[in-house]
Amino acid sequence: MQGYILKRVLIAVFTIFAVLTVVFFVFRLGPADPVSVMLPPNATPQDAENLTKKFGLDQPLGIQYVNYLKNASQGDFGASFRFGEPALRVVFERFPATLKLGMVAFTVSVIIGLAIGIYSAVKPDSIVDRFGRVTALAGMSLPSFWVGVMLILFFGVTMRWLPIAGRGTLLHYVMPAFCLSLYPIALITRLSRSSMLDALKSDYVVMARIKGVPEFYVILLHAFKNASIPVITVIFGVLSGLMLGSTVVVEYIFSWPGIGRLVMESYFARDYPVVQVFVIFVTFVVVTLNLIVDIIYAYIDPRIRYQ
Amino acid sequence: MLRPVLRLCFIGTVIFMIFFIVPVSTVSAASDDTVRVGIPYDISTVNMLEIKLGSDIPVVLLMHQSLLIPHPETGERIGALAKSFEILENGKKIKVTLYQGAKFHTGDPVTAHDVKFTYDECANPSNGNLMAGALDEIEEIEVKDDHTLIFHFWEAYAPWEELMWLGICSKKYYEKVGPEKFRSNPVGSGALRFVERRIGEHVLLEVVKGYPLYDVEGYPEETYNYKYLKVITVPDDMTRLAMLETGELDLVGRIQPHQVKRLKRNKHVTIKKSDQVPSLVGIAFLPYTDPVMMDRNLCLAARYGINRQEIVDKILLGEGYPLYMYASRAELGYDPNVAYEYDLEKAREFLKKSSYKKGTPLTFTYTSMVPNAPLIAALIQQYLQRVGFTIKLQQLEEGTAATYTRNRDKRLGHMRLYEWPGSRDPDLRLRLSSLSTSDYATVTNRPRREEYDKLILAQTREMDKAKRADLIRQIQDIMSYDAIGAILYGQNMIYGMSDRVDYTWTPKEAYFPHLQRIKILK
Amino acid sequence: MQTNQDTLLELQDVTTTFFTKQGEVRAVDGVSFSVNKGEVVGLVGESGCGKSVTSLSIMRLVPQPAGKIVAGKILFNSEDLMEKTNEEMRQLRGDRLSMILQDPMVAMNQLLTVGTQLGEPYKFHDKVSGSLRDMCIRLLEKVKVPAPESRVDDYPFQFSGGMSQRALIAMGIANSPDLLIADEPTTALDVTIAAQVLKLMKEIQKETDASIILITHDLATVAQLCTRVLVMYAGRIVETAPIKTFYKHPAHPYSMGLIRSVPVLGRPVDRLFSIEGQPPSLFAMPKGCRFAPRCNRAEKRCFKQYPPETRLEADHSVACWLYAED
Ligand SMILES: Nc1ncnc2c1ncn2[C@@H]1O[C@H](COP(=O)(O)OP(=O)(O)OP(=O)(O)O)[C@@H](O)[C@H]1O
Ligand code: SF4
Ligand SMILES: [Mg+2]
Repeated sequence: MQGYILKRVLIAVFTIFAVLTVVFFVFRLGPADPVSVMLPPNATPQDAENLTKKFGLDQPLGIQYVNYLKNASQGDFGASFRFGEPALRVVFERFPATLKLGMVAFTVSVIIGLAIGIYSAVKPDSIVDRFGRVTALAGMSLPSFWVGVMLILFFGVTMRWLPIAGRGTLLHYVMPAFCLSLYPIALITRLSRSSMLDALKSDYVVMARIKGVPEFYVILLHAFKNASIPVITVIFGVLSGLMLGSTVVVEYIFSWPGIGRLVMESYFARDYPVVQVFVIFVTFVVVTLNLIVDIIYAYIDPRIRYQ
Repeated sequence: MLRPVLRLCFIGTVIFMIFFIVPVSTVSAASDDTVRVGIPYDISTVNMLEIKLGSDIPVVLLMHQSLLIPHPETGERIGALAKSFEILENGKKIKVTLYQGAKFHTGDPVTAHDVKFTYDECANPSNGNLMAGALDEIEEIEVKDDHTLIFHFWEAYAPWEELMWLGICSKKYYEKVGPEKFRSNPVGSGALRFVERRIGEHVLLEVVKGYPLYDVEGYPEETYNYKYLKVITVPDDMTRLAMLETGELDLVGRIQPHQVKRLKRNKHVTIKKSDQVPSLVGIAFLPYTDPVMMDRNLCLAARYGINRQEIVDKILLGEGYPLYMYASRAELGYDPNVAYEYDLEKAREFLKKSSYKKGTPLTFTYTSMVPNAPLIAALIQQYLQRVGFTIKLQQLEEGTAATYTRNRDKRLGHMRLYEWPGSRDPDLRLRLSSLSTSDYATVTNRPRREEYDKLILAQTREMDKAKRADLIRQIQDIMSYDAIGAILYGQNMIYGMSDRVDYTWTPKEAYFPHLQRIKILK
Repeated sequence: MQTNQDTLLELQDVTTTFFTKQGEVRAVDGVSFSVNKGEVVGLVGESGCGKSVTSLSIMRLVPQPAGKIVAGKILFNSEDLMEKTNEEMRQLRGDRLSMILQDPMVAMNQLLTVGTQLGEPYKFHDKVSGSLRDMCIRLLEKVKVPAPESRVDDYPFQFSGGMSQRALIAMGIANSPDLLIADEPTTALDVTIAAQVLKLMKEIQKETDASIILITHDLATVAQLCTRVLVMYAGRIVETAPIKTFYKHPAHPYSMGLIRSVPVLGRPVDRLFSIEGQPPSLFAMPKGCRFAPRCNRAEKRCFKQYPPETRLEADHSVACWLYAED
């Protein structure tokens, strides 16, 4: 297990390095440069030169890259072009907002998704199952942009039940979290339903019932434990998505000060340092979550553990 | 069998802790004494010394006072920190006398040293300030005493007033706390004091009690009946307006004409307009893509072939005015008599006379910078096709377009739709975009190049207002003769507010001016 | 058929139907039989004839939601199981009523230790006295799993096939049930292991005096363990006979076919013999005798009407027109 984790960490470091390199060059070789984007319309060529120097973009690309790696390895990712503050701080100031919204949406999606999924597998063709199937279809196909706008117009403007945008109270979470969790709910519902159906059909479930195990334990301990392996993959996929940018649209509509919006805006402003920090962060989170998933698998499935 | 349940509880607790240990915001000021203004972008800095974007100016100026400010009702320039200006040596020197009694939020008095410090720092290239280039006109600032200083210009500089808006920062405070701290918590002498900035969320400012702390002649009396002013970033237009409707925002600017109808149905929203605001849209012809774009007849064909009034009526829904020259209504040199009436026959004749080969596709580029750009581009394509052009539309991302522009990249296409916020004084714009030696000039080989360049430089140095206006008119004449493109229209500034507040736009200003003058009604 | 005091289980006209998209399937069609206390009954028949569904019907665990027991009574200790609530059934299951599934590899939950699964019959019937782990170890001992103290914490994938089947049997007998249904307990095992398992079952039967319904294709197995045989064909019981009678004088042509296809030691094996043809599709059941399309002694009426049950001896009855008294 330790060797395995070490291997994973090494791969992660390499991944981050590779991703960084790609991002570094893709940006710099792309059509737009940050100086032109940042300059006001009445800037003089002198201004442009100053800014180029200030951003360190006057040096040859190779030297920029080496400097960049050197600084990055020391934890210095440079200052955001746009905000003039350390990019690391800019990103991490905004991360809690995404994390909190993501956690709420995640918890909601997992609870509702699993509840509907499991229930409709246990009682196929019941009202819950039918409702779940319709919601899953809706959640899969309705664009969150449209849902967000409709929510705002209905619950915000017409009914005045919920605040439209910003943060502060728990009520502020309702609409964006709902909007965010729609797709994950659909995903988790569908998957947990189908894998639960498979599990409930299997012989070990019949055997458990033969032994007189109460239905609650049959479903959760015997069936769900087996069904959970594919479900966990999806759940963690949802989690990393929620923390890393599937939130962009929702953050934009609900003016949520999260990381997704920051990165989108930074990309358009060609604020390289911020985007680079984000990329490292993404890689880090994805790798960590994958590691966690692997550990959970091993925890759930002894066959993996004993290999 | 309790184990799975216990485990669930444990996981729940962990999630709960992550959720609440991460600090919940914020200085949540009581909403009754807070005025909330919605803007679509982030305030990228609150540090006057490092301003890079014009959109940051309105917020920064709330915290800082300037030597000169526009009068909130007339838009005319009046002294704020400066009590008087004296033009010496025919404009080469300007002597400024400061009001006594003005104070920074730290309590320190505003002195001539602070003024010099601010101007020097803004001109310092390493700060990347957007005024750095313009401030090159100043050779030196000489402090005579605490309340007197002299601006030395290299040469007489006619639009010197355009340099007088910088928000004066406290030198003492800056030296005490250093640039890092100053950046995150700046101190000025404006009507509002900085409280906090949360990137992606808002900038919160607090009214300074008893402001202004000194008498300003000719400036209407100010009292503020709110305590906090919160400038909130709401990127999405629909959301911002919905928040205005529900009262979550008190004031929103830059409302698009087609959005007005819905807002007007809401009796809690007041809509106001200003037709003096220089928000202008035009088409630039880009000669380096294809020399045919320098053909005067081609340009005239486009100018006559576009029905500007129809664009104003159809797309702006009447909220604007057709424009025929490269100057806004608010600008020196604007001449209401210049017009290219829509005339299809004339346009076709000009096109025939031009060297344009029928059927050659011309690329027309637009970005999201111009409101309703796709619609407008499509409409212009129609007009030009009717004249006999073949037009291919191309949408670019703003950053890409900006870079192409700077590098004179052919991929920018033959023409480009663009918007500029204009200014009151055309000087900087003329020198940057029209002077044939400028990096930004789209047309550098005009037939009357030498005469034109000379006029531009001359107007910079002409201190006599009437004579200068005449020079600028001559420049405009040449411009309207040259094939630089077609100016289309100016768009009204439409702004809306909840019935809780009242606010009136200062004429001639492009960004939210004098936000501190919002009044709470009830 | 009358109920006497020795009768533990009695099925009366039990019909179990699957409602599928293709149509209704009567997997068990009016089955009646009884099992006495301490008796070992063999239930034999071709694959798909409804043996498993019959046993699941007794357990009231017919696969949901397609399957349903649509008619009949299932008397267990003179109480009708059909009238019991789910909770009452749950309490019976794993306690008085138990079953062993066919394939231990899929019948065991791969994610739980053998011990956990062994302990469940105790735990959910409040039969835990002392350490549950010890009880499980003793149970493993009983089914002759070596080194039970360490094996109890193993996972099923660490068990061999034979050991798994033993563990599965252990789960079935944990609470010394009155009735144990063993659904092909040896099919998944190779011959020697199968023999050991059967021996074990025999011993257990002696020890616990449980009634056993042994489901199998294999008549040799039946011969070793059972006192009586039920022959099932296409959802119905076609012959009931004591084991000796069954081997000597099988009455039903299908039974005869079955016996002829069994290799017997010391007799040359008629290798080529097997019952010709396929069992009927359950969707298109013949109107008359279900075996008629394959029966070499079929008469006209065999195709018209289902034969009535005829009692040949006190404990030997058959459903075939050959024996019907007109
Ligand atoms: N879940 C189900 N849905 C629909 N039909 C089913 C289902 N389970 C069983 N059946 C039907 O019931 C019939 C009897 O099945 P059963 O499993 O009882 O056969 P069996 O005698 O146990 O066969 P085998 O010896 O192969 O185990 C099958 O032919 C099948 O068509
Ligand atoms: S009833 Fe007829 S067809 Fe059926 S087994 Fe007897 S003889 Fe054969
Ligand atoms: Mg079976």
